[in-house]
Amino acid sequence: MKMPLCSALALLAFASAAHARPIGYAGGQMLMLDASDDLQQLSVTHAPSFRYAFAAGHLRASELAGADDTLSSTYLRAAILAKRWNLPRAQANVFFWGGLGSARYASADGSRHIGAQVDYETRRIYTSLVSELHEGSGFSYRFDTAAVGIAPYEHDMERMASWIVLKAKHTSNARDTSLKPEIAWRMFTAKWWLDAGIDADGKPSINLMFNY
Amino acid sequence: MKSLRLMLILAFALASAAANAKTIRVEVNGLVCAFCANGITEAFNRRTDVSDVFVSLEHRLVAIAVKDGKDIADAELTKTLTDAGYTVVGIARVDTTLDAIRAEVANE
Repeated sequence: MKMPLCSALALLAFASAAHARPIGYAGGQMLMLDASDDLQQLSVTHAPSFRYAFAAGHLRASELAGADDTLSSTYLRAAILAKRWNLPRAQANVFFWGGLGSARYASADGSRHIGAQVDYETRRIYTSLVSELHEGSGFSYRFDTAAVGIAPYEHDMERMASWIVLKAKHTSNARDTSLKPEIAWRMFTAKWWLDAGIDADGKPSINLMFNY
Repeated sequence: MKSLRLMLILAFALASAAANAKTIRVEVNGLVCAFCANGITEAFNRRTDVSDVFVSLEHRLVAIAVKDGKDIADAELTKTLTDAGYTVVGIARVDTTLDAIRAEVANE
């Protein structure tokens, strides 16, 4: 029973990483940190091209469903931009990714995951749908996130962006399969990105990214 | 008298540099996010023939200042921006300095 739980948490971590785009700019690296009450994750992404990227990361999840155990997982992932539409005042994208991970928990096991993201954004509106499927021996989970963001003003390269982002999350086959709402304050410049969120249970979370 | 001559020479040199300044204005589609468009700045800053780059999401503009005597072919500009993930709509070369474009955008 523990293995599906840890896999679900690994899945949550991966899905959290996918809230932003899985590919940075061509030739650049992106450092990402996720932190919440029971989950911490650090990953590095390198994008040789704007069309594809490779990532390596490590996550740590504690207090799984009341257990004192801690999950540690290291993973490798590849992502591709399947399609991009560059419009005069908007951009839309379709991303796919997949990866392999090793998990250390009650018993060691590996897992594989695939994901997809569709997004559309202007400088005032952001929408995205993310779905990620994790499978391993004896478990299969899908994590879905829908997000809508609104910017009170239009940012520019030298003016910090500020967004309010509403998210609805759902995990199939997990212990709790209810739809979970979350609200986040998103701020970013050309170099860094911060999502500071809080879920319906009042639990805070942050997602910090740095381009270099 | 010597210092006056020096000042005149300096003023002439600065005026000549401004008159020869070449800035390339590129109209680009898909510019909506500063975090993502940072790749454009990085791509042009890596070039040895570029002295400065300015990106305006509002104006869908990428302005590139090239060093004296240098130019970047349209095909190369288009490739650089396409490789950064954006779509080039138009390219124009102007005598306006990049600082003047930056100030013009800031004053709007």
